[in-house]
Amino acid sequence: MSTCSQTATAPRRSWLRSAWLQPFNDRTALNELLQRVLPRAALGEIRARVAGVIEETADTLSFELHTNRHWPGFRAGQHTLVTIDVRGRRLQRCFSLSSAPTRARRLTIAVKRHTQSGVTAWMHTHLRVGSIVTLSPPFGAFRMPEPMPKRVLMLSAGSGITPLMAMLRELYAQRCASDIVLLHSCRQAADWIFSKELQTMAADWPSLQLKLHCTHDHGRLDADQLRVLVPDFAGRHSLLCGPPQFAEWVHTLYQQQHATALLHSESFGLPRAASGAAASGGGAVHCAISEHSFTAGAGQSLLLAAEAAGLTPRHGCRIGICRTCLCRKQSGTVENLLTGEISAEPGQLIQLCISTARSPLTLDL
Amino acid sequence: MNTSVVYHRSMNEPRARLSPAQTLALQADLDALRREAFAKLGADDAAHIRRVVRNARTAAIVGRGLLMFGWGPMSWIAGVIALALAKILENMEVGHNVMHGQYDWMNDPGLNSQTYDWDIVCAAEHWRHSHNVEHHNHTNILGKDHDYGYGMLRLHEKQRWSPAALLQPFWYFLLAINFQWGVAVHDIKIGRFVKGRMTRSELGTRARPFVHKATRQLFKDYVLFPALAFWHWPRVLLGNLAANLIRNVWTNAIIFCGHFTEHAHLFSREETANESRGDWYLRQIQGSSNLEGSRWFHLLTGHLSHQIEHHLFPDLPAARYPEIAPQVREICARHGVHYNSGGFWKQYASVLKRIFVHALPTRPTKLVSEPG
Repeated sequence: MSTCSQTATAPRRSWLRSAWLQPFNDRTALNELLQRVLPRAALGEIRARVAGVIEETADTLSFELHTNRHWPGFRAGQHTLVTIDVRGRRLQRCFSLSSAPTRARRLTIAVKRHTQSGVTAWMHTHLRVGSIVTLSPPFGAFRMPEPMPKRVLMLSAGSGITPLMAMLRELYAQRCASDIVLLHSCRQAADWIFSKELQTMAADWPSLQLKLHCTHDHGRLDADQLRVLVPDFAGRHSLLCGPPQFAEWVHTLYQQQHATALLHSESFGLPRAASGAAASGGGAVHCAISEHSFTAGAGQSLLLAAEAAGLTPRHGCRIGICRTCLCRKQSGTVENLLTGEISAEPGQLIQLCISTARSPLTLDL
Repeated sequence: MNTSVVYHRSMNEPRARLSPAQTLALQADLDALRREAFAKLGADDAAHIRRVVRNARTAAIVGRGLLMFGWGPMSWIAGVIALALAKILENMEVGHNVMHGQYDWMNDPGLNSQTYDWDIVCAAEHWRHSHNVEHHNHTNILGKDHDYGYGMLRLHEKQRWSPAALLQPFWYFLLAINFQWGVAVHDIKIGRFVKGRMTRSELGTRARPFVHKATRQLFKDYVLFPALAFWHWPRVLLGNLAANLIRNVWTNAIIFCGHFTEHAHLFSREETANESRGDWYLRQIQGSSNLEGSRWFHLLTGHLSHQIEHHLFPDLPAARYPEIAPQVREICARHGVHYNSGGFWKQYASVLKRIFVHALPTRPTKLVSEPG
């Protein structure tokens, strides 16, 4: 469906987008007018209505979304960027799709509340049935192997269970005959997202075995515990999803067992090294457009650092007034030299002349 | 407070001069106010600008609709008013403010300072340079702020007089009714070409964005929309012309009240050579003037009625200016700095007076220092 619509619209773009047709082809304006009547409708944009909210655990909610016709469908294991306006700021967060990809234009994401005041907390309190969110097309290379191997181990920690849940739901619907073990690690049994549905599923579907590891009682999952829970883990085709520390640790373990060839993984969150570097200041800056790299000193403005490296970013007043040097920061943390404000959000616009690096950065420069 | 006041004998302009320590204190107060104001930004500001965008669009659709499909003079007048309102809201409250980066924090690509384009013949990239970089940085510095008199009006005795200035009330009238064109060609700096300081090819390069933008605007207002109205075309063409005229006169009057009123000060390059941030704040206050009026009036000026607050914090969402204005006024009073504010007619009359008075040559008088 997606390839169809893309090839159909591609040749028309040239003249329909012409500036001579303004304001009739102003897409932003047309979308705004359209959405006064049909909130979910949009030209070339995936928008979805929250159709249901399910409480999974004390800190996790599942949101059922009904999209407009631009949603191209997805494969289990993929994720989508959800765009929401939080206190006036447009933010994007990545969530794995947890529903089976069988129903067109219907999908589910599970959102775990990380802090009391962050984006996920906002989603918990503000997203209600009827709310509208914008989605990116699904992406991600984490998928089920094809054909499905005979013996599979799914390893997940915390909210890392979501993409695996999409796979299990799909496999369950097909009554897949492979021998599947799901080993989930979380703080305690009450934090196990999807536990009820998984237990119902396992009772009805003999292929699936569930193993739970509670870090509150047994500490971090180690090699011995893994051997006890899943004795033949090294011989199983493994799918791994969890926070970076968990993923790193499992990788090390598989390396020791020389079983990495059988390991497919997905990880989320900031790696520890990056968040540790934020405290010291300065860092390597990668320019995503020009493909240059340079090093910014601690407390040095990014504009000066870029110019010292021979780059010529657009600039104006150089004292934070005119915003000519505005640049999108793909990742990393910067500090505003005038206000001391920290920007750690990916995708924020920063003024190069008054921003200094607090971590390694990637800029749209 | 130990501030000395220097009187300009001819114009009677009081102007506080602060010691470095006093300037630092002023800077600290204004920085604190800035932090406080920025900390409050949130869903209300986003809702405000989106509401204005929506209302401006509705007004444009209603206005153009009435001009195209309406009958009789009343619907023509209503159409012109609605379209002029749409252009004023879009240019003043949305375009000008968005291009200052006041809403960049929202991270909405449709309200981004670097990509926004407005319903006026002035190209956005020209505006971002001549206005955001030159005017806001060098406000009211003779020779550096090209917005002071727009290169064609003599508004202060320190400006050189030429015989052409005798006709400047007439030049001003022409500028007011064609204001969007004045703004549009401003950053090309045709004056430099006339004086032989710019080559023809450089002029061509500099003029290109203007030519592109102006052609598209002319096509939209005087070809596309009239053509869509078939035999109604004269009605639409004249309606668009009238709406542009109303917008031009209104924006011109408001903008001229921003820096050319009676007590708005003019600075020299020398006295602003080594400015601190506090000095910069002080110059912004002394070079700007406010207009008083209702909530509606402020909205229609794009909150340029709060020119002082705008020049202190050009990237603060403008709808916040009325809220911080009492605090700015209080800070000014505490530091002995004149806060230039008045009703529209009073301020505009003082602008017109300047245009007439400085049409005639004046012999520069010396500054006389008097104890404050």
